[in-house]
Amino acid sequence: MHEMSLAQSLLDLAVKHAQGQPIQALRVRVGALSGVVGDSLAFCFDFVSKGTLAEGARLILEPVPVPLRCRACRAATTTARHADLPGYEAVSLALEEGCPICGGKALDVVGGADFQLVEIEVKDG
Amino acid sequence: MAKIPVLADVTSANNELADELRAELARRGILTLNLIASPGAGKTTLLERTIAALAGELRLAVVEGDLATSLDAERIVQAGAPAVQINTGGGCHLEAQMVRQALKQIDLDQTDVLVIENVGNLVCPTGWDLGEDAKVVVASLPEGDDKPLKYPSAFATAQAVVVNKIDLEPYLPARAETMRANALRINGSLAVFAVSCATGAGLEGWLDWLRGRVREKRAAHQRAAQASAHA
Repeated sequence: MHEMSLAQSLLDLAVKHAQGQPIQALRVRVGALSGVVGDSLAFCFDFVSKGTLAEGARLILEPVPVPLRCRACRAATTTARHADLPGYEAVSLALEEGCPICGGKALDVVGGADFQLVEIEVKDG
Repeated sequence: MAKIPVLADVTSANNELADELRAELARRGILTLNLIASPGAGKTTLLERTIAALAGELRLAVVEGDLATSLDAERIVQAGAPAVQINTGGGCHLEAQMVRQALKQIDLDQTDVLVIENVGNLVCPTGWDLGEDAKVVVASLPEGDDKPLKYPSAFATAQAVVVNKIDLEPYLPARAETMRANALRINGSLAVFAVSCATGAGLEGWLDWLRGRVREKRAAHQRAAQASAHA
């Protein structure tokens, strides 16, 4: 819903690091609980990047599974095995299944809201 | 093609500002809550009840976020606490910079608890740090007791959940106990309070939690003051 302002923030961050060179791609980590809608973000990014160093740049979105911690055995796991599902559903299903290590039924959600610019690719000057 | 590593949060500008606000509020020993809920869950009514119940004991101040009107701020002032209204226009959440502006109109020396009532929305506000000590979710029974499962991010990042409108339970398929269990499945460390802001039922537990958090905040504030006095 706020992808336009996120796209603008993403663009500002990328341009700041581009040292004046044209940007060809941006690699972005998107947590499954970040609420960021990939298609919507790409659409907004195309729009805000027009006339900037990042015009026409490719947006490479890397989904990040939600980290979970078992309250019984403290094992750190993720929702990666349900990567085919939308973020919220993956979490619901993983909580339903419990801890894959000890079978404990109580898991805590300990992250998943990441929205990070990992790196940018620029044209060789 | 050359790669330039960045590895930065896209919302880092907001997060840095939120950290500044948190430090400023901590320096004054003010407990700050970010109140998140769907529209109509009862955020403002909970605050009216809380302000009335704690009158003479704790001084609340409220930052109100809505798309339009100052209706909610007027209700808070009527209930006896200072309030500043932020209108986001179409914006779906509050950001730290808006809160910083609003705080200029609040006398922080006369404030024990600052409540930031976010825009009615269970999705977007969870992604924006406002400098709070804790997020509190209000979820009302008519919305359905499966709400925590359908909107886990709000519940996963909160410290307390107020289940409101339990007086309507006889007329609904939803159950307060199921809502509580679902919230705890998402986040087992949540404090959950089943209340009716209409009748006042169950509010004492919520008020005690609030009092406890204020005590913790003041203790931390005193420790910090003593440490800097010894330094």
